[in-house]
Amino acid sequence: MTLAIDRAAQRQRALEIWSRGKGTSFFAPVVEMGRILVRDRLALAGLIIIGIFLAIAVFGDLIAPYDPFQTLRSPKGGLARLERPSALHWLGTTAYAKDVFSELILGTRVAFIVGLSAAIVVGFVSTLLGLISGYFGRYVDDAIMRVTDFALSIPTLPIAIVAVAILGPSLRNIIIVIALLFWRNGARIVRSVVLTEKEKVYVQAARAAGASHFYIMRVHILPNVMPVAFLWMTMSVAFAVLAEASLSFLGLGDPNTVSWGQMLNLAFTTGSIRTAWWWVLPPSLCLVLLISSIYVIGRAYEEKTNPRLRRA
Amino acid sequence: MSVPAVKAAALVDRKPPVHMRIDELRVNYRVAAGYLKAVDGVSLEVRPGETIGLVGESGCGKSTVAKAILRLLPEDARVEGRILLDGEDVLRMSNKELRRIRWTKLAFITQSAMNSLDPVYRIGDQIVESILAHENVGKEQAWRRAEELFTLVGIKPARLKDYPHQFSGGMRQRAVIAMALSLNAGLLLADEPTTALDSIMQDQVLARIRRLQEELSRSMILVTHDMAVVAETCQTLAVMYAGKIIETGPVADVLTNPFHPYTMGLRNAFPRIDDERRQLISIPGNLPSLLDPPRGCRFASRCPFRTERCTREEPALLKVGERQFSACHYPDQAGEFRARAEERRTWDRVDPMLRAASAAGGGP
Amino acid sequence: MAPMRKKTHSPAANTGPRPAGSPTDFVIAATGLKKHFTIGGGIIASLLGRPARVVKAVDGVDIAIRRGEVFGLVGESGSGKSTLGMTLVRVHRPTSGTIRFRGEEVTNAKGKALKAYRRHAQVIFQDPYGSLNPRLTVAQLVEEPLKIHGLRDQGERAMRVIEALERVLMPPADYLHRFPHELSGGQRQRIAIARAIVLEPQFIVADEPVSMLDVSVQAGILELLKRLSDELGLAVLYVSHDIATVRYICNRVAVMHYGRFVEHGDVRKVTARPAHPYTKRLMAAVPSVDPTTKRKRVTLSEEEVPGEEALQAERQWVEIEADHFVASTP
Repeated sequence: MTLAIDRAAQRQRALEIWSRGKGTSFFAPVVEMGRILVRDRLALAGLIIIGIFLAIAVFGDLIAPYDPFQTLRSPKGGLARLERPSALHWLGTTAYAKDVFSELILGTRVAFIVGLSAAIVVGFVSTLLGLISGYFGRYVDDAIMRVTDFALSIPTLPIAIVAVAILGPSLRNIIIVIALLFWRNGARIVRSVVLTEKEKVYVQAARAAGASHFYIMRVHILPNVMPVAFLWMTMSVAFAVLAEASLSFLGLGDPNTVSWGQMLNLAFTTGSIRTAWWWVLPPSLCLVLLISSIYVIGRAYEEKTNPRLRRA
Repeated sequence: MSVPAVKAAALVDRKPPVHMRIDELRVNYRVAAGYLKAVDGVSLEVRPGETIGLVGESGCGKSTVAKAILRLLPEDARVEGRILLDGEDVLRMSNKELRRIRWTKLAFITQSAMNSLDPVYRIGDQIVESILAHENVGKEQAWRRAEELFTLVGIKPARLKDYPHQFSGGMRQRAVIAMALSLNAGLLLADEPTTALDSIMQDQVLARIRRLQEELSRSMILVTHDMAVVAETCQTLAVMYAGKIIETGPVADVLTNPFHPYTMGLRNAFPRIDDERRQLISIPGNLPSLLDPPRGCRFASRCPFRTERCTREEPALLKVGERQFSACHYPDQAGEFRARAEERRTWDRVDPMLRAASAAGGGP
Repeated sequence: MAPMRKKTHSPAANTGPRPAGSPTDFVIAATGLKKHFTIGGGIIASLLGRPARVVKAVDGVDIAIRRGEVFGLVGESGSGKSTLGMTLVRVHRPTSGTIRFRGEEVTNAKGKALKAYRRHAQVIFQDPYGSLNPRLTVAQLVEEPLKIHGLRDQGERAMRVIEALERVLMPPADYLHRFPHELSGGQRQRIAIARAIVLEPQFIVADEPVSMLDVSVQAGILELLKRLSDELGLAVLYVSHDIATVRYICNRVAVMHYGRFVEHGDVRKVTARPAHPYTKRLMAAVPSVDPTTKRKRVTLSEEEVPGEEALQAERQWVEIEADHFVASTP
């Protein structure tokens, strides 16, 4: 009986030592992330920018002063084509007499939907395939990599055009096609990281201790792969937005939406790219801002997961 | 395998051994938390033909000294002091001057040198290439010199035609030594040349280095954590601790009559094959932080003989023998220290925290 | 030299004595153990008609280690000593021979049986900088084997981890939440040892555990291994190229060359009176810190040590004194 009590007391003591100096609360990871963001001003800025974009994407309908599909007329009665920014049209109008600001606002939503969904699908598929391929090696690797090689040999845009043409031009189909096209490089990149990670002595040590493949992949390999996968995902956002723009330009965009890519392409095809800066600059800047914000957050994430970087 | 007695001096043009003097060398690395004082006022002289062993634990600054001599420190390191190679200051040389002295005056072998051979070229071609790059000789002559060097390091000259992967680790390391010697540099700097090798390979490589020293009598600095390696190859020993040289002198003198407690501890930590009774004693504790080195003697926290004075006042390098110097406040008590340092309980007293933990965890 | 008490025995075609006593006296015992690796022999190589090459890393070894015994295994790199260690803990599957753990055969164990065996047989690796995942804290590192083997109770895990850390003299309160990069090489190796003992195993393979450490801390790690072996009744296989360190912590030693044992027995006897030319060579290679006693260099050149073929012919053990065996040609 006393033995049991001793044991309970010992257990209590052990847990006390264990929790001392350690972020004890359930919210510790959140607190930690917050601490990193405070120190890393860039990541904080990135997060704020993405937050703003997200709000714009969600509440776009309430913010936009005009319907972006509405053809506008100037007070004199003519079409309001290529008008410079004014109190009436904050960012001027396009060659098709649409309000640039309203297009920009609603384009945010498309960028988010296309970019993020495609990136998530791409990230998931390429991480999974790269992980399995690199970790198990041999026949599994051979099989997956031959499929990847085949996929890589397909020219991107023509296939995208054909695929969207067959499936029909909708946002969902565009996302599917983009995901199908970008997983392949991601899988190769993830695989190469896995190949070096699985040779680490601590992976051998875990195996010698009796760890299962699933455990080793989850605990020892995935955390080292995530930053790379995350970076690839941020790049996929850019690819996806651009691919969407290219497809839109070729008449394969979703006719029911307006996107930054479409804006740029229209500016280009109407020959306004050199003259109508108010039409070209805003979507370009938004693209750059969104993509670099995602990038700096990716970097902060890498710092959080890699304690050696945290010191420096 | 008996090596024919090649007179090495005949196969390379004679150059005098180099004289090197390091004056008050200081190297600071910039890190997030401030400046890391990796080397803090090191002075050292290598007379022509002398072999010096620079010994210490990892983090003591010995490799930083080696890198400073080779000018291989990172850009952001702050270097002060002078490193005089036959009177010329290496630290103030232009890149062009540096290229001139590298390999001709200053050759080096590093720990991973055996991996520095290019796997796609024959070893012989690589050696010849380095000779041709620095000296005005014909290809045939260079090849002949390479053959002679191979004989000298104990590899059959025919194997010059092999590729690096056909060599074992020890042979590759010897090949690199041959390459470093190919230009008869006046000073050879070897940074842990045998650490990656097992004891038989190490024995072979050290035997070669010793032999070369006998035949060519060049100046040499051997940087290593292994005192036994120095005991077997060098004339002079310099012991570094936490960025400073704490004891220096002729190898035999320092090892038989150490004056600094750290040297005594280091000597006791060596496993020996020839003495049954001797206990193996490790030095408790760790190096002090070099970001903010403690006042006084840097070894004080780990020293079983420390007094209040040691934590207050920094000891200077004092003359304790004809050519022996030691940075301890109590050279007069060295004899007593030596005797006590051979007993484990002397060192066990140093770190009560570790002892307490041991008591708590003891017993099954 | 002691008079040769010629007591020979020749177990069928393999080198190595039958361990005395009943099999359960030994924590781990292997007989006729071989591990051959096939190099090449892939599909493309066989299409090109290149024959696969077989490397006999371990080629017929008998070994047995008792409770509380530290068994030294010396040899140069490539002698097969690490492969033997890794085969005994079943990281490799032996080509032939048997491995018994407390009398029970684990030679070809797989699945649950293998996992159960691994709980009792742990490894300490050479490189303390590589064997600890830099992303994990000391607490997580030492806790890992417990998690792998399904100990779910957090309190129980905390207790075991803290006990293991105390045993390796790393005060838990100070080190639990540190990362490996904040520790010195010696401290890291202590953590690796804590990981190895946290499951309370009975057999540990320590593969060159001090060769990458500073000499000043090597002694501490060696002492620790020896003490743990005593306190916990561990059977330890200490693998090293350095016969000098072996002498400090081992009770028994075997010298390995080309996948076979050439000499084995009581560590004091083997090191005091080495009989096999290869053992002599190993002894001579140990550098000395003592400059006064110019050690008698037994400068055996490579040719004087028997090569692989000559060793193959040595299939008989001669007991040159009590508990000191040397391989020789019949």
